[in-house]
Amino acid sequence: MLKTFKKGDNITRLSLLIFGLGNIVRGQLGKGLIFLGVEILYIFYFIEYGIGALKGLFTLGTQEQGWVMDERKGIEILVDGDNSMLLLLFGTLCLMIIASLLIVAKLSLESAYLAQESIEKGLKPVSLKKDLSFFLDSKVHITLLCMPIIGILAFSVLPLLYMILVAFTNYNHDHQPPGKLFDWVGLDNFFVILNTHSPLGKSFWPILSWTIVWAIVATITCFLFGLILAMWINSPYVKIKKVWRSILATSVAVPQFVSLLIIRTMLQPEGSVNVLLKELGVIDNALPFWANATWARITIILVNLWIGAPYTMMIVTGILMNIPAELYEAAKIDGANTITIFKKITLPYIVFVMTPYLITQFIGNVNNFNVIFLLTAGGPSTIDYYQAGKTDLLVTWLYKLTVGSKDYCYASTIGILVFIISAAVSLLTYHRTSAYNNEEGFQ
Amino acid sequence: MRTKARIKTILSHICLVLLSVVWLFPIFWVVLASFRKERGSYTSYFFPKAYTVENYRRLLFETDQFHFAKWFGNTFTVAVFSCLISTIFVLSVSFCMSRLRFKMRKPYMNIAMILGMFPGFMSMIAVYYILKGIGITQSLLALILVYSGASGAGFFVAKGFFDTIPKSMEEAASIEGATKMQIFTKIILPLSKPIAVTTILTSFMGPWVDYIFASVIMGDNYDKYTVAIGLAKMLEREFISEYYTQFAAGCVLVSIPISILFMALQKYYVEGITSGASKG
Amino acid sequence: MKKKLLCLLLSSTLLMGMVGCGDATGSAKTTGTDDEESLYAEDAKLKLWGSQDDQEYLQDAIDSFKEDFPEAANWDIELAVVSSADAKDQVLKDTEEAADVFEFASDQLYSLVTAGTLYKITSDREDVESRTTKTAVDAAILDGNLYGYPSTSNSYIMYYDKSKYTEDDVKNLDTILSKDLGSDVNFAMDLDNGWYMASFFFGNGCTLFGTDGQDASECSFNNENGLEVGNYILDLTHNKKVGNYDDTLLLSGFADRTLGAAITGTWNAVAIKEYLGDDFGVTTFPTVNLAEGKEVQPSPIVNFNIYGVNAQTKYPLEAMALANYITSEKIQKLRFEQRSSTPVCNSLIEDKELLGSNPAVSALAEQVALASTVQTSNPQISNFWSPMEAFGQDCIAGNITHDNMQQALDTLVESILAKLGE
Repeated sequence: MLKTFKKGDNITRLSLLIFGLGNIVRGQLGKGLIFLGVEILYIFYFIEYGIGALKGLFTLGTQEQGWVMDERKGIEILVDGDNSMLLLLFGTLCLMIIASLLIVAKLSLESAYLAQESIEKGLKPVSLKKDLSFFLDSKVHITLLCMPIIGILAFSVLPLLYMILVAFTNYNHDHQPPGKLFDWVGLDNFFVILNTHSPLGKSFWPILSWTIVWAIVATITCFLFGLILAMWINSPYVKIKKVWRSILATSVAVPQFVSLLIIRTMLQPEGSVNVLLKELGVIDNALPFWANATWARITIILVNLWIGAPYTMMIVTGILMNIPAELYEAAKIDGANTITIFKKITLPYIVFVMTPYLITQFIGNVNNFNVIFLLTAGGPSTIDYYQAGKTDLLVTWLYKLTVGSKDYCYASTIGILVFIISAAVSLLTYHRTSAYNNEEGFQ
Repeated sequence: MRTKARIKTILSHICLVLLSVVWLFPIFWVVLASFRKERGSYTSYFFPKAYTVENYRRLLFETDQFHFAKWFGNTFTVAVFSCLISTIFVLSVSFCMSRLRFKMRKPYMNIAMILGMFPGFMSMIAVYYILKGIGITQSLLALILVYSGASGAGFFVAKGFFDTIPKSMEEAASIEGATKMQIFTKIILPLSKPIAVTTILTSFMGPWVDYIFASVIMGDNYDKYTVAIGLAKMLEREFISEYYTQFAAGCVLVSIPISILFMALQKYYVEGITSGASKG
Repeated sequence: MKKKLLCLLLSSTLLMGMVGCGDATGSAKTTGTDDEESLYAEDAKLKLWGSQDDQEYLQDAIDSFKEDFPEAANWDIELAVVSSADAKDQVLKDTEEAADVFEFASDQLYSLVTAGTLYKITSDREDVESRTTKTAVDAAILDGNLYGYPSTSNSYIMYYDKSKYTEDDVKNLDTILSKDLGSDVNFAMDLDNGWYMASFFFGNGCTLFGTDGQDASECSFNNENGLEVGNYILDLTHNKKVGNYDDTLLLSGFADRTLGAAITGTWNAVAIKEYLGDDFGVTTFPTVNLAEGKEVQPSPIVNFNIYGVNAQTKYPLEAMALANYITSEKIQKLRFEQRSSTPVCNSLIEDKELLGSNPAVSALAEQVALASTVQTSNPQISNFWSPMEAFGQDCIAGNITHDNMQQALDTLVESILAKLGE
């Protein structure tokens, strides 16, 4: 951008301030007017909302809501105050709009420079129609990505930035908008959570370690069991393969919301599993599937296997069909037996192909809200943790902190810490996989 | 050798039968419960004492407390539109990421991956106020946008699939003067049936199973509820004993269309996932 | 400001005579300012939130409101479903969109007031105070201001199967447990729910948030008396004759006739009556023998449902008129008849004949008179439920034993009083 700025003449440089100037001057009236129009919209936004939003983001509100006596009605009437939560959200939006403004400014400069260049070369600058036709060819990515990116910015990036910023405020149950204002507190929340002596800190570390144990065990068990299932059903000893695969795939097809709630009920002390086992005379006392921490943790992992293993099975089955037949034939000629073939060819191939999938699964399990929340809701709870239970993951805990006690700032802080963990794991592993480094290997 | 193979075959099948029993057990139970005449979520016996279709009839035709049929329609509408939008978004994004080379490609991919690592629940309230800013809270449109709006970040599987399509075909088309857009619509799209099916399936299922986002957005607008909120409501304290068997019936009704769809499209689904997974 | 208010109240009472339960329409104010135009908008638009199963009685209430309150004839009053338990979440999520009048449970008062979502009830205050029981009014007061119109009270009592227990059996919990019912469960209650469990602590003289319930830094569940209670609860959780049943389980227990007695609220009365038929019995919370020769009457928590007026409503006076009306004697009686809700109106509570028509409600009234603890609302109350639940579940899981009970209770109190960020 700097280079363009240096090379451009004054009109081109001025296009950084007055969008589209270069284009208008050099005969690209339509394009220039579009740029100018966009700039006017920006200016309008900033005068009308933007400046206020930035100020709001900085102060998070100064005027608390109050009450004024209405003599005629005989009651005190509400006078609206600032709403810190909305100020934070719209302030964040304003930051994003400023970022987009910078991008448009850059585009304006570049477009002006292009026009300048063609004039210098003695060519006529491209017409608007021609320009637009680029959007179906060399610039087709802009056309195709425009709507998805707007969607992501609005429904993912903006909420996320907002959430991150909340972690640096004191938006907790004592500072609830619209009645109360909250304010910036810097890194205080992080100290509270990472401090092992605060009530939150005492719970954070044990919950974190269970989250990691859970994510590792859940990912590996699903992978191994799915792999075994796929190999087994694929073996020549099994008939009607499709039927078995379909039966096992039912647990993937039935919505989790339904199946998990049902399983939760079935495994209660008075649930149908215990009733059935009692009727069959296998047990006398109900098994404490959810009451005992160890039982509950193992049960969750097994139920997760019920949901997750068939998924791996389907993928592995597909991969097995894709393994080049020549590899097997060559091995057979070398006299390798089934086990050697599996160890030397099949397994490495599957692991190679599935590594990215496993990493995604791992991160998915760190954030596996559904399974935990619908099965145990974090229980059995324990007085050793603050508002949490023995099977709570960090995500379910932060959900409880927001919905239960409205302590948004602590929940956001935990959310950021969860992110740091996931990011670290994926950075460490993902960038080493060949799939990432060797993107075009198969094309 | 032959008897050994036969024993293996028999053993395998016995194990598979046992496994299938475990696998189908919860489904079997919920079907039983949905036909159970006695109310309540727990019974001190396994098989119902009497069977009835009353639960289904009341679920579908009684509207004084729960308007299940209407909610089913709502969910279906949301599911259809959000899966349409998601599919378009995902396919366009993955085409760009796989086939085109431009400056913002790697940053976009990295950002998309980072977005997936944040727990989404925290942003729920912000999403609500964004929708309110647009002025569409408590509407089906809001739900459609929530489920499909950010779908462009979940393109990794589809991109992996596109990566496996040989480049030679588009090179040939390119020489014949086809634009990139034409390559996308005329060459790549027709080849992407498996991955389109995968995307359609996953995004179609979303609205049926989410009730946390849906209930935040719908609030008190009873007419616009989805089945998931409705089913979750039936499990609340004041309803559960009266409505549990209807809840089971509702579960069966929700599972049927999704399972059928899934089973019918399973072939493509596996194809899409595996080629996608293989290239991540 | 206050003087003016007093004047208004005084003049309206003078004009209309006694404003009691029967005439809670608030029309007094308009009569008082006859020469001016009416204070009420002609086409006010109001939304009212209530539980799903309260919708029917609320619709009836709205209809009769429009009849009794002529100004409201053309008001557009919309009814929507948000239960009193969910009110806080929905109102705090978006106060602007929330209903103008909504019902909430009294423990949400502090949060709702802190978030500035409730109107102070000033002009109707005398009205409310004169018709409502003192405890119910207190539950709607914070820092001296009244923030709502109490409508009903909630607590729990014991239901029992008369074919299994006599009236004498059910006076004491240990007598109940000593009876051999074979494979049936003798007694059930929610042992991992603070709302129920706290009754034992209160019964034995422990306090939560001080004697007036407003001291957020006090809880004596870990003193000597608390230790007795803790040990008693632990024994209950390990007693095979005791079921840790939530509502659904105890209902199915009564349905199967495999349950002797259970503690739960009046909202289950109709269902249990249906299951037990002529064997339906209901009585006060039984006494417990905490130690040799120490028989204690547990003191159940009583909380209240309150109708509040949304601070952001466009029609505050109209909303107050509606809230005042649906908590009037007439509508409380209607609610009692249709929904078996316990009234909080003095004249209805004192009407023994009326309450007698509903054994569960009259048992509850008896219980409240015998022993009960009003649940207050303060900054720590939302912190109370999870540690109590955790305490119950830790007892059940065997993590708490008689040996570490004192320590466990200390942790319990610490968690209840915990302030984050300090």
